[in-house]
Amino acid sequence: MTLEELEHLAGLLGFSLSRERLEQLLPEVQRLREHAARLRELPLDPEAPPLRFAIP
Amino acid sequence: MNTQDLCFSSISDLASRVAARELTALEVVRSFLSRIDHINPAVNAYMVVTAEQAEEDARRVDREIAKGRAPGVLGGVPLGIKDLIDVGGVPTAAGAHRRFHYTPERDAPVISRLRRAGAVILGKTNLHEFAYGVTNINPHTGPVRNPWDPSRIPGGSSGGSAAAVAAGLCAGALGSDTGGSIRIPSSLCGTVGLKPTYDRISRAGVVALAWTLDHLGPITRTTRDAALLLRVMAGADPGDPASVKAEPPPFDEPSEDGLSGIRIGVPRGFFWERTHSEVYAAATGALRVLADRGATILDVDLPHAEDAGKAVAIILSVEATAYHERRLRGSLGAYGDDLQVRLLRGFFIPGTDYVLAQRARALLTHEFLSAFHGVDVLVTPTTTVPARPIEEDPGAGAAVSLTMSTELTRFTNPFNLTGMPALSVPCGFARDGLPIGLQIVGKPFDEALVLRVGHAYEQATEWHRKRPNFGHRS
Repeated sequence: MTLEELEHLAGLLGFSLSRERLEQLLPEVQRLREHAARLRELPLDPEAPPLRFAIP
Repeated sequence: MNTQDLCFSSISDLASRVAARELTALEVVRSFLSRIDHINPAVNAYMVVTAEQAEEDARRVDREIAKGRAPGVLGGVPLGIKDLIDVGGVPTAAGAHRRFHYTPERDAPVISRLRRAGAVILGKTNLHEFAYGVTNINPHTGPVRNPWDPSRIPGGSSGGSAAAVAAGLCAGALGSDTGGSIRIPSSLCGTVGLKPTYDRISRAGVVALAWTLDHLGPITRTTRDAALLLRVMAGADPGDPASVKAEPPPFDEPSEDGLSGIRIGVPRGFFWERTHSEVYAAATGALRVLADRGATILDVDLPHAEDAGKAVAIILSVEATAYHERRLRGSLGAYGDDLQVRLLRGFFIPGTDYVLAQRARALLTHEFLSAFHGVDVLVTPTTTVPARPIEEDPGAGAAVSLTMSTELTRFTNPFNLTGMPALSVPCGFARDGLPIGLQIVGKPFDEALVLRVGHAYEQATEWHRKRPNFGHRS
């Protein structure tokens, strides 16, 4: 993802961010995407997410 | 006993002396309030001190005792409360901009439980903004300073609570822990911090950070005190249907046999890598002490341990952003620099990645539970390093804060992901006088054994008895 792409996405989400803020944000977004890429390599086929729904 | 000794007394000692009329609750509370007046300006641990209410509550305890009634197991014990937990009539600030403050009418259920046991609330303690960070460098409240070296961070996000306990500004404190926020400041400030099993303590009336990772727990000077607070804090609450009904089993002190028969697992690799040499040496020395107390030390394998932090980062980012979304859209500028970056990043994580991280959580939880098949507890260092310097340059603050989160939560956040009880106890000091912590982790709902191992370690060492030197102020 480039800075320009991030700026575009932020705009679609309704945020107009300064260049400085985008520059701080970009490495964090990239880091989290790299984390997700690594997690995709895990043997997750049998795993369901442990999300809880309870009728009150 | 002078005032300083009184302010460093254990919770159990204070409660028993008040119940026996050796001290009045009012004397105890006034001693702590006087110490807060002198010491807090140097530490910035408290945001609000509710002195009048504390004295009134102490008088109530004394009246009960005068009538011959039992004051409760915490009768007259002064506590500090992390300022994201509701205390009725006192603003909940969460370390945030004042536009986000609110004043709850009622106590959070966990506070009600403590009051029913006779505890006296001294005030609300400082924290990292909205509990989302580990430095406690806070643009709205100023930094909390480490009582062992005021130029250093206390760790966070419950840094005010840990600093208050370490500095003798309360007998115990409450913290919250989403990635290590009880254990990290406990490690860096030389206190005992317990993150119980997920759902052990009600989170109703508490400002959330990430619903599926948040835990409440005690910060104290001894494991016995942590056990005492846990017994009072734990239990089912109708306001938090997720809270479990089971009361924690009584704290079982080690017998004459010490830790004979207890198998301690040491997850080699990830949990000992990138560790400061003095932290490594202190934690390794602690393993020898535990072996001397009769425990068997065994290596265990957690092949995907390094992936736990990645799953936590994604889950935390998404849940925190979801919690704050409305405020972010209306008041982004009211958040500090590091909070803006942390909270904005959550908007750019696809929903599929959040579910992916939750599925990884299921895998990792099975793997961590499997590691317990041959051992009773796991032991690791609590943090990779002792307390870092406070970053005074606001321009560098956000980047430093983000880096420190990754560094300091490395060994703690896997147990937020898997929900297992984890305790940090003091296990030494670096050459520059900064405390080092040891993490003891148990099977779900086995806090009793975690505390027993921590207590056995305390009985064999003196680290938990050390006090920071405040020079003329002490």
